[in-house]
Amino acid sequence: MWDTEEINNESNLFVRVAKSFISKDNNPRASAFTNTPKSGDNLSSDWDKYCTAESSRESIGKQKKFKDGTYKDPSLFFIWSFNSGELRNEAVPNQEIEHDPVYNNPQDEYVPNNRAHSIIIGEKPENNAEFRVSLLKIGHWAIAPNSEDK
Amino acid sequence: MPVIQTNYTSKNLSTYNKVKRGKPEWNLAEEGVILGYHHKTTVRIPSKKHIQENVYISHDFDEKASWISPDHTIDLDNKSLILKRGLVDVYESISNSRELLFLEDGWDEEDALGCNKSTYNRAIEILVNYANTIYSRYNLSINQPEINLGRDGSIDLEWRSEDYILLINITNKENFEVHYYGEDFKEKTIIKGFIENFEINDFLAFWMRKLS
Repeated sequence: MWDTEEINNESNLFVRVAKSFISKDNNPRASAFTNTPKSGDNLSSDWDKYCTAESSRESIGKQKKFKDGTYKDPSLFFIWSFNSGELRNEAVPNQEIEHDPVYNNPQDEYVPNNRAHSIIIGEKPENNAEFRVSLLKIGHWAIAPNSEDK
Repeated sequence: MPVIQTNYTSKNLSTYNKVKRGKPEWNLAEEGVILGYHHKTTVRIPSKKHIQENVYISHDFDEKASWISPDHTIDLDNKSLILKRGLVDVYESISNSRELLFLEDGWDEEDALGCNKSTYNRAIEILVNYANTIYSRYNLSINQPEINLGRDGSIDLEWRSEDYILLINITNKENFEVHYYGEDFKEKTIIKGFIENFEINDFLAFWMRKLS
């Protein structure tokens, strides 16, 4: 069990972007940052206090797919980085960030233990398109796809 | 130059030929090549993929070769849409996007919703309407959009370059709810709002000229 902590504005948050969400220009499509409908009205991320971009990507391989119970393939994902201060102040609408460590004993293989887990959460955007473009503008790749990855 | 669309297919092209000229002179050649002439009438096959559908006859009295291609037909479930013939890039995008219809729940290796056909159809109709309008009003062919499915089942029409970005998001809801946001990085202009029906939003259409 881990305590929740305050995430300061200097921190970075890593968000996974599946290969199927990479655009022709090698950046994420705007659709990469829609919420996952089954896991709630927020965007999952990993806080850089407790992980690196590389370890965040590796951890994907410890998670089972809801669809068929097999493990996910980390090579099909890339890592996009947000600065938490920019998410709070420049995203439209501004977003809240909460540390949300996951700990279960025994571990849930569909939602594995993860001390870095954090959520990006905010009021429902009035304009989905504006919100997602604003996310594209303030982030950058921590682990980018090569052209042959697409 | 008048253009007459006929119902002739490649199968009965030779029949037509025999009736008119006694012996077939036209051969199916590579895409875009004029096949033959009948007196002052030029018969052209627009492209291989249209050969099974139509032969287009033009009365070209100076017999100069010029390419005539048909408007594109896009078949959705309950209707057919016509896309102006100059909008080749848009047509290609729409053709490629058909694969989205096969995406089922969990297609993103996580928990995304599959493609809802009615949301997809709505997105395509909006794209066709705006592309045709900009083509007719301003004589401009907009660039190829990316047509993507979001995790929540919404469809994105997305254009981006170094100079601009435009995102039109067709929400996956029964009621008509479309959100758009565009930004011109050079001219520092922004356009944003909502579309609630298939009527053309004149401001958005005017802004979309940048996409050509």
